[in-house]
Amino acid sequence: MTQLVFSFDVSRCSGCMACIVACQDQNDIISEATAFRRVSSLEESNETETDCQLSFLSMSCMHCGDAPCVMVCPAAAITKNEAGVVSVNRDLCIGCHSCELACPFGAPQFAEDGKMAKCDFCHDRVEAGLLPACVRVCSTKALGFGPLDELTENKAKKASTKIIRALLHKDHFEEKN
Amino acid sequence: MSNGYFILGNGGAATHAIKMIRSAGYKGELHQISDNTGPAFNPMIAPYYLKGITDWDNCFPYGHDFLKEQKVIAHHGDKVMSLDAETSTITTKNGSVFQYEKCLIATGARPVMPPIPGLADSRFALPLREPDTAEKMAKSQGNASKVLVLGASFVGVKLAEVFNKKGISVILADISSQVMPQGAHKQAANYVKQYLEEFGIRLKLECALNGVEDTANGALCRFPDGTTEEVDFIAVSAGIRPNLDFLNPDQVNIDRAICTNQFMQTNRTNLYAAGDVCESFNRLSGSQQWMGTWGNACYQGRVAGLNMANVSTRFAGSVPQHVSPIFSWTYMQIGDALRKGEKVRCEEKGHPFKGPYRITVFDDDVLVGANLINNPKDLIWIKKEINLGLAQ
Repeated sequence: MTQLVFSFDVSRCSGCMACIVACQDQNDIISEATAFRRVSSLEESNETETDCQLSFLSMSCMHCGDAPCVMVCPAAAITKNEAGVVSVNRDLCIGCHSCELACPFGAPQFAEDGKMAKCDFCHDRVEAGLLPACVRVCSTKALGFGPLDELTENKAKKASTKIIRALLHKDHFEEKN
Repeated sequence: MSNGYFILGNGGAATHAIKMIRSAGYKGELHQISDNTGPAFNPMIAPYYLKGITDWDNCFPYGHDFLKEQKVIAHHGDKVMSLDAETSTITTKNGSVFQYEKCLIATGARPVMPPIPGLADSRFALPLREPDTAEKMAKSQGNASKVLVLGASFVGVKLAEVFNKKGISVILADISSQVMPQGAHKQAANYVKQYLEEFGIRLKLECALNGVEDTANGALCRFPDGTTEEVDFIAVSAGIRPNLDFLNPDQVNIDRAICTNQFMQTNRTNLYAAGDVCESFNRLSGSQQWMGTWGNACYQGRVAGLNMANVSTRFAGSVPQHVSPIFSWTYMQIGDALRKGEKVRCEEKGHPFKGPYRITVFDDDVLVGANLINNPKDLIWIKKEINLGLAQ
């Protein structure tokens, strides 16, 4: 089975944050601080600052191909299944935060019980043939979901370039939520 | 005598090497020699077991059937006494002699017992590393009212928290002037110290214990200022040391631990090392260094296993890092926050008693290290910026 992925079209995202609300609702997350999905704004200008571009990035767990969180989890609580979904068995999680230290994207979140929780592509919805909640509500169709081999190279390149820029430039990177 | 691939040790590095050797298609004999008698135990989980967060079975994260599934011939309850790299032979405590085609040394590390008079012989001095020591400490904490944690290492601080939460009076002592001296900047360490004291943990820093004497029900600890404390037991958390006594240093290159290249090979043909027993590439310093962490061990084991199975793979190296939840704080360190030098400066932002805190350390204006408390948000760009500095 091929790896399942989110796709994201930077040019379409308006920063409305409906994806966050849908994710919180689906996963019963009360606090924005521990939401599985985040929307960030990225301001970029040219050298003379005559041209400025504002873009938004909606990010959650990337379900990495070789996920570092899976590798470093001392309790083997994090696994990656055949469809490429990285998920956590909260009964095994000891709340050591090793996954948080290893994740390049800040995906692992820690609820009040001290254990890790994260995006699992809305497993129950997908099992029932539905889209993940965040994708379902994205009115501009910036967020998509499906097998990796159906994602166009151009779209992936655009999104990943923007994500890397955002992660590298803390001064230009502001979380909206 | 037996031929085949041999794995010495039974931890994260050994387990990941076995997985990779088999998944890369090696179908020959695969042996494991370990003085443990059960499945791979993770000592990192032990404090969480003592705290009551996880069950005993979960301290063995790869389960009881792993070796059977991987068709590993287990020589458990035995111990490697010598390894002759010239003749590729291993001799064990039980008198067995094996000849290896390829061998991985993943024997891990053992706790350091500081040279304090009476400590090593005390019935009440308990290290925490192996399943039997974890069980012993779990049993001892059940009846304890006062404990000395000897060594304010990451494990020591964690144990102080665990015992405190059980209602036990805790003394945390270290010869160093700060807690977590292996990587915490003194300013961040000072905050952690204040935080521990808020919970009633008594800290004795710059304190070398003068001696230990066993009493009927515990240990009498003598301090340099002439005071004494009688405790139910002493939790020894003064660091770890690689298990490499069975090696001949004239045959295998050893510095602080076994020296390896980026393929996790030693200087000897067909002899590999991974995990807490070896040094590996520190991307920040550009040199080989001993960096004993669970994640590193697993990655190194994976690389060693692939190379043993003739799949050429390099270990990319790592940047030193550590994370530890302490009561309701989360302390993180990445890179080298202890860097010294004329061009070294540090910047602080926030206050851990009021919100997120960070201290960043720069060398010649390049970010080289940071300590964070309750501040996962800054972790992402700090990691990226340290990596960016490495690339320049």
